[in-house]
Amino acid sequence: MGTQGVTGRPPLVSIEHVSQSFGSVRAVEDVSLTICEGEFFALLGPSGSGKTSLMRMIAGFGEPDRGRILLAGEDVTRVPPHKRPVNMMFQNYALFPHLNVFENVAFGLREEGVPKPERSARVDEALRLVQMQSYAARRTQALSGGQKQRVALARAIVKRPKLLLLDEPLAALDRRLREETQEELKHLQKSLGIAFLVVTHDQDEAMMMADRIAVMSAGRVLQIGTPADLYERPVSRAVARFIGDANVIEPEIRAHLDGRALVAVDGTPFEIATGSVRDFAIGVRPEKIRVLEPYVSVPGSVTLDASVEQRLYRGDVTELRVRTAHHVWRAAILNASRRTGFMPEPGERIRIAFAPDDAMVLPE
Amino acid sequence: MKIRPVILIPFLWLALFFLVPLTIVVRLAFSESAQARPPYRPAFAWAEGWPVWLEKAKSLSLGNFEAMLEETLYIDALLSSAGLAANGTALVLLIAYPLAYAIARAPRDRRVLLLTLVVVPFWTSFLIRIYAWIALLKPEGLINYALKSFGLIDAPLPLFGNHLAIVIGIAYSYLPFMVLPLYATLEKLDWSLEEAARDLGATRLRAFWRVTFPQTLRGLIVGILLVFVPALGEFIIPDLLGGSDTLMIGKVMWSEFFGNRDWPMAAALAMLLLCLLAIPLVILRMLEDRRETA
Ligand SMILES: Nc1ncnc2c1ncn2[C@@H]1O[C@H](COP(=O)(O)OP(=O)(O)O)[C@@H](O)[C@H]1O
Ligand SMILES: [Mg+2]
Repeated sequence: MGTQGVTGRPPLVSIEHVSQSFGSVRAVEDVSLTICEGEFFALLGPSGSGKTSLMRMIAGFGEPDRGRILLAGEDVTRVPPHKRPVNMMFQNYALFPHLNVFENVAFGLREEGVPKPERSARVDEALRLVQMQSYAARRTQALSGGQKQRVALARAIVKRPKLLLLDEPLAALDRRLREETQEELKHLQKSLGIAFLVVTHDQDEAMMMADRIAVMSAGRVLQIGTPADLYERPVSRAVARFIGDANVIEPEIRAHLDGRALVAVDGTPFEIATGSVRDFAIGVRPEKIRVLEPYVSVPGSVTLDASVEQRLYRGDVTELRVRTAHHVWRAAILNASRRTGFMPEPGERIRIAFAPDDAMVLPE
Repeated sequence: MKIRPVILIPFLWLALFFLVPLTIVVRLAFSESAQARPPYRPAFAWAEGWPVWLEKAKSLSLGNFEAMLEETLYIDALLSSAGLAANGTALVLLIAYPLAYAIARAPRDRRVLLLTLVVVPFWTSFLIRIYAWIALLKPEGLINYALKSFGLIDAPLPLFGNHLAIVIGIAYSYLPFMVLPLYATLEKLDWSLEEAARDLGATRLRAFWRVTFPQTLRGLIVGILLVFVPALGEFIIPDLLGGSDTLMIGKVMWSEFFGNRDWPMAAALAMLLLCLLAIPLVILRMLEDRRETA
């Protein structure tokens, strides 16, 4: 599993074998990863998987029990937060209630000792970047959630950090606003050229914004890669299930030969490329499964007899729950092809088919 | 608007235990002292009724108030009380703020215990606790004895019978009145704000000063009032811990009332004190109003 940056840019943050416990809770377990300059990096995982803990250690809140953190080549593991060239946007935004919008954004510049004229010019610019310049004199309590989020963002970028940490930046926004803001964040990140590290539990959000994603579970990093890597080549059952939907099937492994394996599902044999992996599951994405009328067969595909258990209309797709001899599958039919395609009713006998190449090998 | 009877209870309480005594004091303050029992000639008789009272109010005897301004003793006592109360309040603040801060940041399940410990001394009689301070502070008392036996001092420190003793007494007695409002304010604060400040380049101390402290001003002012106001009129602490020469308004009132049997003078002093104490309260209200409209 590659921990080196694949974007070809120099590394900015290196996290080396970092662990952190709270009493008996192992919040972060032996995490290593590298974030490159100008990269949009996401930590993705379910609630309680250690994302916030890891991010806080990068900001300087809470020391690792083991391992070290390098920032631009310098060991900052024991450097206090106010001396790190890193800023954080807190999950609840943490705006100062006794200060107005302008004073909130100016806070960090004042601590830095930036002279007054430059300070207000930079605050104005930051507020303009987030389209909040007309709110400078407002009290923060009177702002909406989206506006608070923008002020918090302006306050974090005004110091021009090398790395911006965002803890669930969009979690408090409603869906429409969230999707708009995702695009804006991505755009802002590219135009500022600052590396962003975003914590999120929402895989769509991570896929949409990030250059690379680290999938976390129970304090560990399961896989690091581009959104396409994670979707098309997950290394484990957990990643396959967490990124998109996947039918994870334990096949009968019959033989290994020259980096390929002969496997069988429901007694139907086929060959797949496995490299040196000997023990694995296979994962098939629902949209890679073809739904056929009974007795139809597709040459070169794995074809199984099935019956429809449930049909769910999901807008863009219709999802079928189908049962074969020993497994339950989910298949997705694009509704765009509905008029021409085959759309079975629950209880109907059908066939499903997938290409052996579409069966992802999941070693872990 | 319908007023529910429950709301009347506090009003009745205030009328009975605040307004009625206040009326009596006001009446006393405008009367003249006399060789009588009780020792004054009332300015208003209860039986006269409104029209007579109003007529009399036009030609009121302000003798007591004039005497108060002429005689420097009263003004001196007032200033000296204000100084001692201010010093005492400052000392309370110095101890109470860190204490309240530490309790508010302690683990949730330990806070109640810590707060109880702050209040526990109040379960003993106030007088007994002040007597205990005499035993601690006097020249042959526990503190001087301990310092001497450790060889830190040769002669006993002058801890007793002076202003220092009064300030210590005030600080000790009024500590909870400062700790509780400060704790109530601190306890509601969002600690991630301090982290946000540190993230933006502030040291721990700067983060406290620029973020936490300004948010506790309300609790601070309430605490200061709760300590300063009663400390100003304090009688027992200066009487027991202060020297015979300490001048405090509470003591002066006491001697006017019981020593000189000049009830009207004592009442006039009490009114003056009440008016002076109203000033900070009015300022606080004005500040509050400004904050709300800002
Ligand atoms: N300050 C803390 N004290 C005790 N346990 C903590 C603390 N912070 C986090 N944890 C625990 O560590 C684990 C990881 O938490 P966190 O990093 O917040 O996860 P995430 O951000 O992925 O939801 C959780 O089990 C959480 O309860
Ligand atoms: Mg979190």
